[in-house]
Amino acid sequence: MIYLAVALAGGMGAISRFLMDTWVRSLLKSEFPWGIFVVNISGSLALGIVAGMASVSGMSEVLIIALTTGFLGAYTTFSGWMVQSLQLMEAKAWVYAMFNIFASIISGILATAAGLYAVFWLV
Amino acid sequence: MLKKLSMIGIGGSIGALLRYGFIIAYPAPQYAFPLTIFTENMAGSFLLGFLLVITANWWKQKGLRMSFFGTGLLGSFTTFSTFSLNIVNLIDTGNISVAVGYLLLSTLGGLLAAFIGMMLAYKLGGRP
Repeated sequence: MIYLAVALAGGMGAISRFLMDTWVRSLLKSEFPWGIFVVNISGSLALGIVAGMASVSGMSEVLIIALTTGFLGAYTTFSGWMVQSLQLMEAKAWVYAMFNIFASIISGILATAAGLYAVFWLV
Repeated sequence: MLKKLSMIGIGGSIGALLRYGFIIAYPAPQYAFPLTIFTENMAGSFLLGFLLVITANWWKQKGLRMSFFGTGLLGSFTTFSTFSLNIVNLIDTGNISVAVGYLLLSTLGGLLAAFIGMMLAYKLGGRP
């Protein structure tokens, strides 16, 4: 049951990542990979919120795993972020590469913490 | 487009299942270095670097295979949100040095892994 939930949610997460990435890139049309950036930061914010809700409410284990490990785990991507940073370096776009690395880390951590503490503060 | 989306969906399901399977098989002790997620992110970065070069250079019908293996499977196998949450949890519980070590090793290691993957694929297949 839990494996089925992870598989379904993971598939939906990957499709959502593709759609969000495509949409953001079509909006911004930049050499900077804003698509995956937006995906990773929004997913980190959402994971903070879900993790906070899971610890203060009685969500079922299947739902928690489906949302966190399944959907949000698949929606956000580490390998895509690393490879895109490397491609920016390969293209000698050093400022973009460094920005992609550092801004992703800092915003990701802040977004997760904001989501987590917003839930704790509200509940 | 529908074909592409289903490739991403199936690949994404498999990637998430694999990631979850390893977490169940090798659960990291709470508030220690998240070795399982770290290893998955390194392996996925290496494989995506490798895949990117071989798809560009060797394969015909690049689009669908890249959708399945790259965007779907490896994109989903690796995760950024859990990486962020791990760091927040480690800082929150006062394990600052573990958090900093995890952050630095993941970032530098991920870049290096993707780089080695790309170089290996170039070496095996030659540059275009």
